[in-house]
Amino acid sequence: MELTKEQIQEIDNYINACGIKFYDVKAELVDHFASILEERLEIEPKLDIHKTIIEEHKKFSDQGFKKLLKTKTDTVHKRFYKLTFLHLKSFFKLPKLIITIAIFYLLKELMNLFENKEHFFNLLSGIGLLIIAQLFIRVTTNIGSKKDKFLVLNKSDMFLNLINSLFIIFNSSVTFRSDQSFTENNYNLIHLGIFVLLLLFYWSGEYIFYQNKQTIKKQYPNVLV
Amino acid sequence: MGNQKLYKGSLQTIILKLLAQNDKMYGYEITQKVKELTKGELKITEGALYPALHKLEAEGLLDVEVAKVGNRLRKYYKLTENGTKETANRLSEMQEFLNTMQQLVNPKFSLE
Repeated sequence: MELTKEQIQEIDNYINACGIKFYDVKAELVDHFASILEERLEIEPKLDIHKTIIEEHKKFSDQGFKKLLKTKTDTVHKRFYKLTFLHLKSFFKLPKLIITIAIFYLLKELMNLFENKEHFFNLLSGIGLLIIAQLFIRVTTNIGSKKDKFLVLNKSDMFLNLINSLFIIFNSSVTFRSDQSFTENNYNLIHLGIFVLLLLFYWSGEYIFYQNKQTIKKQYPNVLV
Repeated sequence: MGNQKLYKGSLQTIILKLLAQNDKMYGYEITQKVKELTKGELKITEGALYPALHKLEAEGLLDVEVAKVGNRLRKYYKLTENGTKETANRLSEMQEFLNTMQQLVNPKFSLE
């Protein structure tokens, strides 16, 4: 016996009330409970739906959905970091190594055009600020959004917050350097190298975030992501 | 029902084996299939099944396909290319384990 939209909504509301807000986690649980209810309704058509949902929830595990959400969060987190670092690593192997060298070389040439190197690093800080602003806008627009929340994309937001913090540290490091250190070419090259690494890290994070979003759109074509 | 603890470490291998035989399956279907194949001897709890499925997915051994079934969505799991290779490895490991256990539990008579 197929469940009605209202009965499916009842399961959805229950799982939501249990703290499962992410669409990708919730959809699977709703289907699981619905499958059980459909089977039991075949035998007992006058089954109390709400009571049965509570009973099945108790059977789920000793900790209800807590363990499931924790494991799912950990695995999503781990996978995102793994893929991002793999992508970042690829920038240090051919053919992408050419991109890394090209970015570093172009920025180094640009740095040489500046007589006062501090101004150049202030310019890099400006780029960092633009990236931070872009991330901030994305995170804040997501908070009030009516779009369905996906665990996979939520973790990506957290990763982008990490990049945000790293850029803030980079921008602060420009302030902390002494005037004398800006005349030392080696220090400038190290500082520039850190910026390029951060930029590539940001690139990798954005790339994986985009990939995840595409996968979600493909898996859930009728859901607003 | 047998001792469920003995099956605990084999859950991922059981899932992989089932998916190797059934192209794609969803969570509830897996629990029911295991119950049916073991004649109720082994009952996989949902609280153990889904974390195991999510781990296998994160390891790149399973692929996910979402389809609309009636008024809801259903998440199907299927083996990736790596998953197929890993299934063969894990099954062979399990076979070795079973052979070793067999020797320990029921050793053949030897004059040595």
